[in-house]
Amino acid sequence: MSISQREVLGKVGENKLDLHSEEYLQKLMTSQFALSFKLFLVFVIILLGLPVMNYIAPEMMNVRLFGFTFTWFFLAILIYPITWLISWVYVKTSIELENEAATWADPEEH
Amino acid sequence: MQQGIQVIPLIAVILLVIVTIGLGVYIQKSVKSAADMYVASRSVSVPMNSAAISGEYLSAASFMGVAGMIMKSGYDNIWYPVGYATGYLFLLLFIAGPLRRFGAYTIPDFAHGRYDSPMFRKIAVIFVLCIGFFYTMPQMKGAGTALVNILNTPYWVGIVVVGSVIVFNVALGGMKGITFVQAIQYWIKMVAISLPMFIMFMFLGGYGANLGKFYNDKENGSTLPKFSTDYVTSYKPSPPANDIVFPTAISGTFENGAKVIIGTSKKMPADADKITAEQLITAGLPAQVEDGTNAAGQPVKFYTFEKGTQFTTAKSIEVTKGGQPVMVTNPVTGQEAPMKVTAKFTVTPVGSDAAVQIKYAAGQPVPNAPTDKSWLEPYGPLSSKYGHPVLYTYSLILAIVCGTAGLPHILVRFYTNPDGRTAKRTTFWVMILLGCFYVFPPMFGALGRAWVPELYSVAAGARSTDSVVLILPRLLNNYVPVLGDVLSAVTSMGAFAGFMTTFSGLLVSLTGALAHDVYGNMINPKATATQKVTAFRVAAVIAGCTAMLLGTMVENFDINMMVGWAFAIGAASYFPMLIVSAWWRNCTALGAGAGMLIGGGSALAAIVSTMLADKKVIPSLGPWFADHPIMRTLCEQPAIWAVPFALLLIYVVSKLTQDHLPKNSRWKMLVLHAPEELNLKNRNYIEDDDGAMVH
Repeated sequence: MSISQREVLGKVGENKLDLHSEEYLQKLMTSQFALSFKLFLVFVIILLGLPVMNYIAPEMMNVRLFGFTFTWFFLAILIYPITWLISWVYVKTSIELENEAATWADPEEH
Repeated sequence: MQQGIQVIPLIAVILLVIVTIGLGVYIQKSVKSAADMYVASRSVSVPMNSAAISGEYLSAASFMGVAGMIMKSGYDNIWYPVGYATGYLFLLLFIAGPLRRFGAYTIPDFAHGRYDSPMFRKIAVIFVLCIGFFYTMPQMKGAGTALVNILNTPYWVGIVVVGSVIVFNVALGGMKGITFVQAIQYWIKMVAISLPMFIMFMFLGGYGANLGKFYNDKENGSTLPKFSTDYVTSYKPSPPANDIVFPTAISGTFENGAKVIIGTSKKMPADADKITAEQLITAGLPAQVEDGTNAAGQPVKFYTFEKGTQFTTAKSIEVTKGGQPVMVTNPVTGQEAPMKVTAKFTVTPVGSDAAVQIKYAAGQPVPNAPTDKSWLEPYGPLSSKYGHPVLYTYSLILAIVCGTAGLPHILVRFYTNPDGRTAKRTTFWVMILLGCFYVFPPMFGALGRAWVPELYSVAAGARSTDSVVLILPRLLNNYVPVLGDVLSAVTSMGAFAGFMTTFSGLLVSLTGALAHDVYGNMINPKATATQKVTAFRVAAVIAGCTAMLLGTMVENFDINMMVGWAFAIGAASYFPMLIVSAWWRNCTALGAGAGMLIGGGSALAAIVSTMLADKKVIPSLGPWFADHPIMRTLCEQPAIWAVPFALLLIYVVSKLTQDHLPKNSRWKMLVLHAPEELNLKNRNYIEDDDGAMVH
């Protein structure tokens, strides 16, 4: 976990929060949103950056490599492993975050 | 071109149908409750569910349509498969977890539960039905087209066959019934798209080798593909299939008589010097000509070409105004060049013939085909159609990525997972399975252009670029007897599996909306478990028949275009609603409803207007769009304005209606985000019936 994430989460093992408190909800949602948003930004820059690059630097983007143009190779092949990496990071980190968040409050009694 | 029944593909398809029905009947025995029918009892494992979701996701569009569109207009279309796959990432990051944690049976269920608003459920149902039916149309087209290619049956036969099999399966087994079948069919599709391609690489050259045949340098970039043998193309008289654009000097022979409107490949600017038919055709212009009107009511001349007439079109003609050349600016490079046009035919058969047949000799350039450079590079024919390629591209990307996150039949799948964590893991595996699949369709596009360019010669219909996945493998018959037919059978099976699984997923979602939301909540809230199951079965038949009917009407639309429309509506209606509902506490029902209804509704209206223009139902609309290319771009790909519009509406209306905020909205946010082991009491709408048995 990054330093900023740890700051948001607070130290593990402190006094438990009330499950229904505003504090718990804030802590929960902010940490989840921060993670999602950061990864989203990485993804968006790549995804939305490509058309711009195609527009302003066509010679570079269309340089031939083993029959492909670079931009064809990127969009038709390379982009998939990139998305797999981003999702793997997300699933791993968000599940760790959930396990963490489960310790901040006591479960509901029924 | 082969006519008659393709025996081997037929056997493969029959096998697939039997296996599917068999699995459906087998599963039916284990369907015991309403929970089984609607969400497979929330007990599907990660491997099974990810294969099933991927199987469902890979529709006719993914299997046939993507390859077809990439062959037709090149690079720009690669955004389709990329969008389909990466849209899932969007879902994963923001929607998968919260949606599953909240618990519901359908998306309208979620809408009702999140806002305590029965009215909102009604609005949500309307959109589920809208998006769902829009999405079934390309599946039905795929089924019809595939059977035309395999059996030469009329278009509607494939629709009836596939439709009936799926209605049967869904009515019997519901969600549980189809999950297993969909998982298996993912693997069938994966093999069907990859195995033939690997074998074709051995005989036809690899991916890079084939792409390397196309020139994008200054000298040779305008190379066009050429017919390798003499070829006869059939042109049915329904637009746009009967429009033929000749990008250069091309010769052909009319095998039967035809009435032809001779026009220019691009719209002529007002007061440009007129270009006559004599200039557009350098040989073969018939003497017989009569005046008439075209579909838009404009006066045109009809030239009657007799059977056997040979013609040659002109190479290119400069457009002038008062003798001075008209200059146009290339929207990508910014360079100016003189405007040039070539001939465009609109053909109709004479007498009782069903279609116009034109024969092209070996070595002739193929009509309708884009040049190597415009095909290979970004901002080619697809996005430049209306002169604003970057705008078109961004709107397309937004529609597909947000649309994936707004498709009710995909979203409802999250409810089949046991909990939020598995929902996320499943989504990760779905991305892997999808990515592995989607690298293949562009290969079909590339090899198609290199090896079966004759498919370009007709702009739409069952023997156009749409069918490259089915037709390309047949070439291998020339190298190893029967091998081509076998591989074509494999791809046909994959295509069939494609529309079957997606149609079944759509049907379950549509049926769920009709049975659970319309019947179970609005008409008969006290329904028993048995009644709910019966409602499901009846609704399946109703929804299925409606979808089949709609399918018969869309033979000439691009499969991918139709899917794109479903996505655009989903992107503008469900996606904004879901993402805001999951993350913004102060969203009200009125706000979310306004966003969905007005945002989604306006996207729908924009798309329908382009459909009406293309089909010439409102004939004056076509020329209006031609005069306003930005409007055309924005109406054809509305996501770029409709999504922000919907989000804005949700925000503004919510702020204005804060007194209608559900009182327990904090509790709702908690349920959406808190880890499940904290035991928050979840709403589970068929919880009461979980034990009730169905007879």
